[in-house]
Amino acid sequence: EGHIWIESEGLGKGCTAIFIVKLGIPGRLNESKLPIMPRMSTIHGQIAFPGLKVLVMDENGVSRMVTKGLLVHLGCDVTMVSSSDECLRVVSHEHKVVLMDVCVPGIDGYETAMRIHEKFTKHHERPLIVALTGNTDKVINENCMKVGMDGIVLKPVSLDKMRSVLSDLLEHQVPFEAI
Amino acid sequence: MEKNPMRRQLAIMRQALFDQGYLDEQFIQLEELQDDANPNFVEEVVTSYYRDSARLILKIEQALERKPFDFNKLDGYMHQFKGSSSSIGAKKVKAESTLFREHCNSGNGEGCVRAFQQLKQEYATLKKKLEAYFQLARQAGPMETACRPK
Repeated sequence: EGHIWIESEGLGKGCTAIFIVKLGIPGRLNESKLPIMPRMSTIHGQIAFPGLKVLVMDENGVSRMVTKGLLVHLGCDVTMVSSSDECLRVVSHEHKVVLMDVCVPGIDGYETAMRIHEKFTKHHERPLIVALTGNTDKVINENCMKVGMDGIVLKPVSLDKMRSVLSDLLEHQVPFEAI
Repeated sequence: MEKNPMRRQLAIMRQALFDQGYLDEQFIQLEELQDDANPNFVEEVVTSYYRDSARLILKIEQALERKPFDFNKLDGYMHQFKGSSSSIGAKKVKAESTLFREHCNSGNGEGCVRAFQQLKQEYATLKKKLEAYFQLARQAGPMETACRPK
């Protein structure tokens, strides 16, 4: 049921397409079955992620401090860990994103990512996993994709880059390669 | 244009750090994270950097006293050092770290020693400049906005 028509003031003056359509109201959904998607909002005209729970794994203390500062500035609720073991112990379905440094000698970020996949068998409970790396060569890209990471970001990460990475991840939920 | 002479001096000092290649864009990123909730964020990160990196420098010095050089170990320490330096935008220090790692990869012990001496000089120079900068910043009072270098 409905109408659709075009109105115009004349040739060369553009036209407006207008439609009236009757929509139904969806039946009540069982919300506990839906994945809880964090809502993005805007603060001072820029995208922020209030209360988004993020877990950061990075052995480097200074780098961890900066990443935390970035995420807190974007409104995130940040947990920091410095080792794979700690990461696997702490990670829960409440964390929506895990950011992990994959270029530290002695810490196998790839294996940690695989074990996160094993830990969360239900797809919608698994946190999104993003690799933080100091260089993005083809091998690193391929390894990250192979172990099921959802994205790769080159360190050091700028505020704008982190904002767009989180925004893309939460909106599209598809793997991407960051420049 | 800053009317306050101290703030003007601070702006000039800051600009010089970028123009002379001591700092890069990453330092500006740190400044952008400084706000009312974290009013001393930049200085806190830089202080943490100098504390952590001093330990790494000592480890590298000790490793360079043992012969033959364990290039894997040296590279591992420098990887950490480079990561930290990169996080605060320490441009020249980062460049020297890269050079050191290249010498590690090619097993060039003399190159490592030379690069390390140069690195320590750049590291000390930057430390002095940043200490002076933060001291003046504290005297000048809180900054309103981060300014990108022209």
